[in-house]
Amino acid sequence: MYYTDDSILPENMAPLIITAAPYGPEWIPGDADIPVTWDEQVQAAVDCYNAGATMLHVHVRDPATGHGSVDFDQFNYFIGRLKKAVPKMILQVGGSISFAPKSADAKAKWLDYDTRHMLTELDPKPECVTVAVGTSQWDIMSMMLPDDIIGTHLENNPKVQAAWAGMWVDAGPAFYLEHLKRLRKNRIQPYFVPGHVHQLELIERVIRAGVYMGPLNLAIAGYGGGTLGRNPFDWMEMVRRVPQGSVATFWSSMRGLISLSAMAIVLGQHVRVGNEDNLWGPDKKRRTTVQQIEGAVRICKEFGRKVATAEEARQIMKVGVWYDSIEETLHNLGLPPNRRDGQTGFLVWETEGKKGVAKTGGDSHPMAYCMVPPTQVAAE
Amino acid sequence: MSGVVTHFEIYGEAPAELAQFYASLFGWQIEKAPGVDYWRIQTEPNGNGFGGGLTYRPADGPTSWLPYVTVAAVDQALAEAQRMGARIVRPKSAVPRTGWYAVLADPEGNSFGIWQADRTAFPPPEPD
Repeated sequence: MYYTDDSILPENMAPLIITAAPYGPEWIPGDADIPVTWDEQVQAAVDCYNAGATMLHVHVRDPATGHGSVDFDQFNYFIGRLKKAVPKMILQVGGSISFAPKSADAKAKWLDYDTRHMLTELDPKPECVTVAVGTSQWDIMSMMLPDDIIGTHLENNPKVQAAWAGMWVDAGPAFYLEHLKRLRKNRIQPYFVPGHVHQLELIERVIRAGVYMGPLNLAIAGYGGGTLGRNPFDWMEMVRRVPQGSVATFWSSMRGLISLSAMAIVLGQHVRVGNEDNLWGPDKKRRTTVQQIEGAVRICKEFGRKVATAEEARQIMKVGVWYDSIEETLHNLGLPPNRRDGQTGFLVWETEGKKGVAKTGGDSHPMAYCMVPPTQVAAE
Repeated sequence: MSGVVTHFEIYGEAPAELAQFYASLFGWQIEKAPGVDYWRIQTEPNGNGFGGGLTYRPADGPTSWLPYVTVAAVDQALAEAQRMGARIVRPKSAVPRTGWYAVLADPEGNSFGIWQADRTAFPPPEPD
């Protein structure tokens, strides 16, 4: 993204979209404010919406087992209930799911990535599904401090910690090319989740190749261990590299998320909060998902930036919009066009070449270059 | 109460059809729990009869009904059963905020479940 002088002013920023992630699949109820029954899971969404969140990161917990659900029917059931309970919220389903076939017949038919591609068949449809582009390590433990897991089942539990430390995301082209194709067919927008700049490059390539033609909504994911860490310069580089027309949300973990969310808010970016990412406030005391949303709202208002309504969030993210060509996509995302055969030089979109008029002053020395004052100044 | 047979489970590849089979055959009240693949069985009206459930057959599920016996402590019952020659078919598992259960095979290979009510029961999460 390119910042003009006025981009940094809160009144010129797009209203803040707050994503809530209240279903913490890595936790159990004793660890945090984790909903278990269907009613509790629905109520969590309602509470997040009422607190100011306009996008919901959806994981489904099977109330019968307490584990993350791998049941396609349960996803449909839960999304159906969410659509009724929080109809304006943008539902963003977490994509790291392989559905389990229930019958021998389905087991025989669902091959390789089919169990993951089933996310594109959800009914009712969510507004978006998260899509990782590029296989990577995703060791969430690497950036956690001992204080972060106090009072959770991870504390003094090296076996479980090692399991989470070994997490990685399988997202090679054999998966994401087909997944993006199916999402487009079913009109569910991808929500990209690059963990570093080279995954962002992969996303640009699928756009330039026409594999994906639509608005670019993405997370900048910093959980350490194969994804971004907490070095703000790396985050700034990601902000610099994401296309001008994209909508980016900062995702990170534990108390580091608080600082990064503040950064996101003053940079005109967007935030995700909730027990999936963080359990704490800056004072090292526990915060529920709703309290974290309230905190993001407070920071945003103090800074002078508006918090998005659900309608505004949908407009900002261009929910439901698709493009019909590579050129249309690149143009809307503020990316340079693809190179034509034989074309040389750095690429820009052709324009009429006329320079716009500065709003008030111009640059820092408007008269010095010619020593001729503007007409209106001379007249006075 | 420890040692009492409290409920049973029936398994199948097509549980909805199987539920219809038993409802028609015995006149049982069978209702699907919302949002989960579990059909609750009442063998007599007004909840007076024997309770049961019907669901997809787990990988280790028997091709017969599975009775559950209430125990005071699943861990202790498992250890005692093993000492006396039983084999663990399914280790201690949780039904969230409801109880713990396990499935055993007796020394002759007959399967049965044990059940311990516990409002704090919850399984550890599994990494994706």
